[in-house]
Amino acid sequence: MGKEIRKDEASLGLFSGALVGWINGDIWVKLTAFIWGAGYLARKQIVKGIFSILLELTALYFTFAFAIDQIKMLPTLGDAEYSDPVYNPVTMQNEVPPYDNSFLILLFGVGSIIILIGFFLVWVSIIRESRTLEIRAKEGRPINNFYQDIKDMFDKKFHLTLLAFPCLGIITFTIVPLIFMICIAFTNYDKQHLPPAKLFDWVGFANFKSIFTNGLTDSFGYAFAKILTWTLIWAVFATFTTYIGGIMLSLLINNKNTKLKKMWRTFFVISIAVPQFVSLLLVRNFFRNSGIVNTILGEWGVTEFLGKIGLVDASLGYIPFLTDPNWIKAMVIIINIWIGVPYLMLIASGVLMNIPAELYESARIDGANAFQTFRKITMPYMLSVTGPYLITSFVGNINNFNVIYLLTKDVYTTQDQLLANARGSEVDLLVTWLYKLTRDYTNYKMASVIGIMIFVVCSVFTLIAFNMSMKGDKEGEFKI
Amino acid sequence: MKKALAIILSVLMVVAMFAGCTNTPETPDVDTPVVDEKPVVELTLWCSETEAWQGVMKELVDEFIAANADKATITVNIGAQSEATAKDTVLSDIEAAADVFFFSDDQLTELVNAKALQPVHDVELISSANAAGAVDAASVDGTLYAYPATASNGYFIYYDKTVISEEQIASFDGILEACTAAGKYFGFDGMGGWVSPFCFFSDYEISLNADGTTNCNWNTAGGTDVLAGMQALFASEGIKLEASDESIAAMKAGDCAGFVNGTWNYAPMVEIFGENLACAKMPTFTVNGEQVQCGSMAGFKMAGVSAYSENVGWAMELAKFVTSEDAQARVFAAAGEGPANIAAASSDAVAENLALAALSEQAAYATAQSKLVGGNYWSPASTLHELAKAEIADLQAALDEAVAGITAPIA
Repeated sequence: MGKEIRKDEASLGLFSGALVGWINGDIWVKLTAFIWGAGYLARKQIVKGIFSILLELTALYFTFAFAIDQIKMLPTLGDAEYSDPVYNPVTMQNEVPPYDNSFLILLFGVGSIIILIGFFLVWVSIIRESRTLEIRAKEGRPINNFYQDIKDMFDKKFHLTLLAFPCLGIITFTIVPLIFMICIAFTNYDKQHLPPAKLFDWVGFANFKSIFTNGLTDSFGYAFAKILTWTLIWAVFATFTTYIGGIMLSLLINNKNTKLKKMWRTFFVISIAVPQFVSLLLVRNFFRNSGIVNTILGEWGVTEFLGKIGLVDASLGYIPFLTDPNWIKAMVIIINIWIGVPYLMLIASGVLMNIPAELYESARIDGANAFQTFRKITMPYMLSVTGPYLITSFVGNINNFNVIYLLTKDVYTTQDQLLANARGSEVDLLVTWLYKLTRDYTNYKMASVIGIMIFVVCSVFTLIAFNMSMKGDKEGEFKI
Repeated sequence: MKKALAIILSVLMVVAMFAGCTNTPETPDVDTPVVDEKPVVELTLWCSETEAWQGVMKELVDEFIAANADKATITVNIGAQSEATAKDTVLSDIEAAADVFFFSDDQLTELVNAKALQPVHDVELISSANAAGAVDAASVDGTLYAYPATASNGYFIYYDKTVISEEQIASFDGILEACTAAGKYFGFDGMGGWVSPFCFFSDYEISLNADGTTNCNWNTAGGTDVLAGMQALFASEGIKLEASDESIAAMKAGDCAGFVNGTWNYAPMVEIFGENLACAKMPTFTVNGEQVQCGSMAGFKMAGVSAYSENVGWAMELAKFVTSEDAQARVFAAAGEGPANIAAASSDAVAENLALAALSEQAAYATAQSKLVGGNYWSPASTLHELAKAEIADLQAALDEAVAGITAPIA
């Protein structure tokens, strides 16, 4: 009988297991729900029992001394407005009456909820473990003492020990800030509501509404549609130009007729070694209206020629590489090729060297020409190995802050008044737009909404792409 | 062994993540009156990153510490924070702002609205010592919020007087005529809406409301004529729309005969043009065949005290000290920026400065930035300048859109 229960219960999840265990358990297990260490103490796990009780006391103290107050303020995000400080000439310091800081309330509130969830999970797992111990005791199987438990953590359960630290880190530094930032998208945290001097408040979906619509005076909807479109165009071009360029380059370098392979490879790797922002700011100066590239092209007569065929306004006297909306779009893509190709060359070199030589040999015997072997052997092999890389680099390009921001900063002014009114420009990506909104205009609420939108775009794309690339096991297909 | 290593590594990972956090200094107990003992005061001062400013401020701070050695043990950390972007840094974390920071007057309203500034206590002293315009630029609704430091943050014309004559410099037509005749050009930088669309600063209304929004009537009757005049000017021969540093490079090469700029480029101008350097107020430009004087933005730099300073009293003392008559005279000597202090501005050295003379000539047509535009002005205005460089299909629509952006509510 006992064994059956154990089996049944062991197959249950954390919550249902704890609930069933608590219903079926003896008085000690039932008591554990109220006094956390009871179950352990009953099975002679004294240290664990005492720790659990201490933990419960901490949880109770935290809840009633801190968390409840914070969570209670969450719905209003504070109501005591900051009032002007009073100067005390004796201490030479300002005295400020107590005030609420919406930012801290939101931060502590969200933090408290997450910590309470943590305590809840601990509580549930303690109940479940107490029940497991009860069953072990009834079956007469040995029960670990504290020392053995610790030993287990470094032996049978070593993976848990190892994972604990990174998980803690991810929760503290990724999940909590993420939840916090998502919350801001539902508030009016902006220049008009900057804590500590002002309070901000919940506004529901108003910010989402304004990113999809155009108000009388703001043009966020217009800017969002334009910038999103360009972001996607950019991501497609930036990803595929560097991908194909990198493969071509590594084919060229790895070609058996190429001399000094290592030297060529080193040349391209050097461009990785120079910090990206240095080379980008330098390139930006090269391509300015009076920059070195324009000077040279002007002397060679290229500018004049482009003027004649109508690619450049002839009266300008220079090529507006970074000041014309169409030119700059082409330029950022081209400059990105130069930045991105070396990375792909390295990856492609590795992959290409791993393609079995027999494949090429048999293809040659079958009479395939160079293009056919590239299309039927090299590319499928490349794609099967670098598929996931392609997807991550697409997502990376959606958020490719450096190239766009550094190349256009202080140089490009948008010529679209509606974009200008929403602080965007034709070459802005969602992420650079977001940066400008936060850094230059302290518009955190809209930045947060855009952040969520970027996440939605990236995750939708990644899910679709991974599903398609993983479906049908492409690598297996290729091998047959 | 391997396990121990694995644990150490994973702990290190977490520690590394915490490395980004810094200790926040403990708040000293406010209740303890510091009367008997010499208090320990730590202050932070943000000023321009330029060598001139950093050097002068270092000297002044050392003197301030020495002068107050009997009252308190003071340490002052000097940070580099351009006046032009001080507001952005301050607003991103108001409580972490420096105790004293320099900023330009266009940021005043937003800083005051965010309650970042401690109102000045020695109003009488500061107001009487500094020029009325500078004091006005540092005030919002009659309350003085900052200590005026310089009064030369505006713009005017630097030119080569062998190319452009004194009569010609009075109008854009004359300037372009002279430049074309000499085979040179006149450089013009819109400076992100600060200089251009200059044409509208004279006859049209643009002003700042208390809530930080901007009034603007550029799209009313006649506005399209001004915009058309601007377009005509930009399309004329002899003018080149480019960044200031490009003009300076062209001046060295002998291609550029002058440009619109500010006092911060005084030294390189003296170096390039030498004896031939001249400065003048902004010229007139042609609208519908008539000459209209260009308006301009006058700019002032000032020192603000953070309302969140833990030692706000000492911070105010420091701000007063680094904007005193002597301090402003030294800033002028080192950085060439004109003093707001009346006594300092009346010195012979200031009177002889060509740039400051041109600025005071322009003063009649200039308005302080802090009274003129709010934060929503810059982006639409610089785009309007950009648009004026080319054909515009519908001038009225272009102005309407720009005005909608400029007058948009603050968000």
